[in-house]
Amino acid sequence: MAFIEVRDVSFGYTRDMILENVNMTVGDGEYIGIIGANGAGKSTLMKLILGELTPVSGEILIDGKPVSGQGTGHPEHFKEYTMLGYVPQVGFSRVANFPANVEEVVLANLYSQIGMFHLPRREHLQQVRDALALVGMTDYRKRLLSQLSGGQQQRVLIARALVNRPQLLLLDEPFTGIDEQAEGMLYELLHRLHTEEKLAILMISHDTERIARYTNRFYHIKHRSVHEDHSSVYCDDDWRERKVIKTKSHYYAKMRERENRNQE
Amino acid sequence: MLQYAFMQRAFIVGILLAVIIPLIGVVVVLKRLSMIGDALSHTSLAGVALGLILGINPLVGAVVTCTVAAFSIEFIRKRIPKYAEISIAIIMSVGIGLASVLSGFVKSAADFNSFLFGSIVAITDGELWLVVIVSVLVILAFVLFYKELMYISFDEKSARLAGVPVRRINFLVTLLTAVTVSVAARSVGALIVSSLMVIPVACAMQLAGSYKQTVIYSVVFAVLFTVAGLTLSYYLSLKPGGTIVLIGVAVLLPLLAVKRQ
Repeated sequence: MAFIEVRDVSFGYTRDMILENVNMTVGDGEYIGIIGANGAGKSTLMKLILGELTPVSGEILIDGKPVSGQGTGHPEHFKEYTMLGYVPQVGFSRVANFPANVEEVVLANLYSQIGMFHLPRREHLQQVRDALALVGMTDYRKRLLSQLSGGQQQRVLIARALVNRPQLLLLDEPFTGIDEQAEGMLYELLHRLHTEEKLAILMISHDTERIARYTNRFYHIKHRSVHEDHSSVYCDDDWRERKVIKTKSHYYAKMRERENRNQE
Repeated sequence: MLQYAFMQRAFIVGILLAVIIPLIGVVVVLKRLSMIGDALSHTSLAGVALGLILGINPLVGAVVTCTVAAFSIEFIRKRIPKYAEISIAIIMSVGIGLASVLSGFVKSAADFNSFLFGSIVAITDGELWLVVIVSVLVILAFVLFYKELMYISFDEKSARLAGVPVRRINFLVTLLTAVTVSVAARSVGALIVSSLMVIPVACAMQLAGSYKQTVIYSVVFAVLFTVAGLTLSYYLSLKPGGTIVLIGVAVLLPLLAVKRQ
């Protein structure tokens, strides 16, 4: 069964649609990529899945249940969503300078397990240690976040997402602002989590090559600039253009096509 | 010095405020809203002037206007989320404008001045109790919602996804900030509250190795500054509020210098 199912979802504002009739699925244990140019609507899709935005039409199911109370700004239903682990961008984020140590940052995400008015118990601290071990950051438990490199900070944020033992990890351009070598190691880490821990992963990226190499399947969001669309009347072809979704085999066929052309 | 009742009272009030102002300070500094204390304290002056004009207790006027101002800041902040500072600047302008216009109608300038620079050595019984009650509330809220406050300051979006009731906690913070600022304005002075909110936290951040340490050090620094400031001002006949803040700055500067090396 699909863990996440996006059914005919459209989203946009009165005159400009950002996503139209998007269909996609993430199955149990699948590693899925989403690629597309800047502004194509990748992050919008992520926000829809996280319940921060409400689709204009269509619906999104997570573990068979529709994402409820979408766009209300306080989706409290997320308490049940500890099966999702979300990893934000770290590059431009102010969280990097927050005066908290690694353990505190990871522990914070156990909020719904610890509960309001309760102190963390020993098993919670053990969960934090386990999560840090998975990303190879055990020795940095007491370090301030600001004392770590960008790649290490991203590992901590991945550990934070893993601490609830989710079934699916959601990553939104997670490696922006991280150097090339650290980025490669992080892709290896995700690959290991996917194969060894049987973790499903949904990752947004503009690194088409790596996405093609590591993921089981990926979706390509195509976009026409919003400005161009102002004047034109929508016709079916336009809609199809903007419609998401090409399969990995399609991408490889395209690549082979191009290589063949080059060789000729 | 402590044989005088007014100095005992000054120390009790000073130390209580030195505990709660930096607690609020940690949250607002880490949410990148450091200037909120400034905006609110200026607005509280408008409330003081209004109270004096209408013949009601100026402290009540201050609490009311401050609360209105704090929620206005939150309201504007949500509409311009990437530039949270703008909301503070707008409310600060409103506060200064109102305060200066309204102060023109205040007959007794002495009353108004006592709010500008505070009068920690002239605190009445009623005000003492008010500070005690507000302090208990702030400390309770900070202890009970320690996890929530940390996570919201760290990253509101992730906090929401983790199930933290972000809106309700933000509401609580806004309310407590407004009440703390207006009550503190009476004793340490409206112009000085925001320094007490920021300087101890800035000092703590130079030394702390965790969020918990940041909180504890901030309170320790603020209490030290207050005790030293009150003592010094007593023996040298200085204004207490200003002395406290200047001591804080005198500690912060060398800390920053050491950190840079």
